[in-house]
Amino acid sequence: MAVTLGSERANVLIVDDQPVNLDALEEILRITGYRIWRANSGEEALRLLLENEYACCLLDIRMPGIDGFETAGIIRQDAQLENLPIIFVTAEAKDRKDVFRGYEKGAVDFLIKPLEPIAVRSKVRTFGELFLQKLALREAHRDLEHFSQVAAHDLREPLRKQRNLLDLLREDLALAQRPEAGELFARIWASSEQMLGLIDGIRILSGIGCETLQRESVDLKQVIERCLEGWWDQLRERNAQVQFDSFPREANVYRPLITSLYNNLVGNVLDHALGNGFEIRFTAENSRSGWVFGVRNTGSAISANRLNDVFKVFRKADGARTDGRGIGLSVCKKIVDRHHGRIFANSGDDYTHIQFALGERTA
Amino acid sequence: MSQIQETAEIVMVDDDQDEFYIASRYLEKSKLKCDLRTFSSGAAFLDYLKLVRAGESPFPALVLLDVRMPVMDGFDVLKRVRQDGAFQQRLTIMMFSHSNNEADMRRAFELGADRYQVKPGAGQEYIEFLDSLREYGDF
Repeated sequence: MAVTLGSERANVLIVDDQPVNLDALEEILRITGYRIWRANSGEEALRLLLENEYACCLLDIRMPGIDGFETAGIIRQDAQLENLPIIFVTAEAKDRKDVFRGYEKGAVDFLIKPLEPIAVRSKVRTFGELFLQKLALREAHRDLEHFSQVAAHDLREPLRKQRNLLDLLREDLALAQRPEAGELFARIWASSEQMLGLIDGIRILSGIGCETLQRESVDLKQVIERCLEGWWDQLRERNAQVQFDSFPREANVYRPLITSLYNNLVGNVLDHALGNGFEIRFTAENSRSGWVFGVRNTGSAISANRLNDVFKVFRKADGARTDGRGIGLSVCKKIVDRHHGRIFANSGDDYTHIQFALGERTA
Repeated sequence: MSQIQETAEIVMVDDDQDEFYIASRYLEKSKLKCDLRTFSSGAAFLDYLKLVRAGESPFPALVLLDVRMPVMDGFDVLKRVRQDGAFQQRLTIMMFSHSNNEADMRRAFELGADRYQVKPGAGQEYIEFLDSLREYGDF
């Protein structure tokens, strides 16, 4: 029988008060290549379970002290262990009916003594392979996360430098006095700004740079107006009408994240609104559960069955005219999640309204 | 004895020459009046500190120390500087990094950095950062 590569990374716990039974089980399981841990009581089993992560646990029912059922009961009440697969082992056929009773969480199976080696291995293998897959998936996820962190960092640094150098160049060439060159420069500057926003979006998605942030009290309308400074050229070009609801004087938020949130929402509107002359409204509603903010625009719509999908990475709403950002709205969701808030989309024939609450304690 | 200093001196250690250029250009626009002495590796800076200890070079008012450098990174440099009795307290060291990674910040303070600064963005942000350095010396 072939042993899965890396199978020693799957821990299997065998629990029995009789050493001779443990010897027999260990012998049966040796060929799987899994790492076998022995416990001679329920207490010892619980101690080992807290120290390591196990693929499954083979648990003798009849033991002095806390028996197999009691041990399983404790396992199922522990938040970290509640999903541990348990295979009960018993010589008493009448125990069978008790095996499945009262365990709603996690997998449960049983084996009757005398043990049939093939049956034992088959049951343990099922959980062992599942466990190895879980480990592999977890590692792949960690690698990907690490990659995006490094990529975002390493992409950002040359861009920051480039923007410093550009800024110095603007002074050296006295671009302010030369309208044509000034306009050219402004376009380069805006596009590098966009690039920076994109990289910061990836950083937010992969959770970097957010650990040390603090909530602060900000004038949200002012934050939005600051964001809009970077968008005016495009908004004017497309003859967009910008409107504001009446905003509360202050909101308690992570300022850099909220700036990024509004930048992404405005960018999203510009990507998806068709034609010119659409309206973009910054909404603020004081509901019973607190303030709900949002960006509502005419000229674009999301079909009802896609409303929940737009916040997932690389999903685009129907009718995307251009190659939109792909990550814009997922960044928004991440930011709102970070505020312990919620974000949702509404749409009608000719409007899209992205709304969010920011999980503030104060109204 | 160290010689009499005409102007205070800021030392910058960074493997990236562009950073020296950017800093010196923004220094001209800032309110600071100081010299910028640059080293493109940790080893070169540690050699310089030997001269400082011997009184042959002026004591830097402030060191801006890049974190990510090849061969000897900013943490290694910081550790060695703080192991030297002459520089345990008197020398002000500011880690100057493009990353605001929390683990890096914690490590910097554990090893005895006085401040951790994320490299500033363009224009006013850079100038304001330089102006803020006046609390560390008579620039």
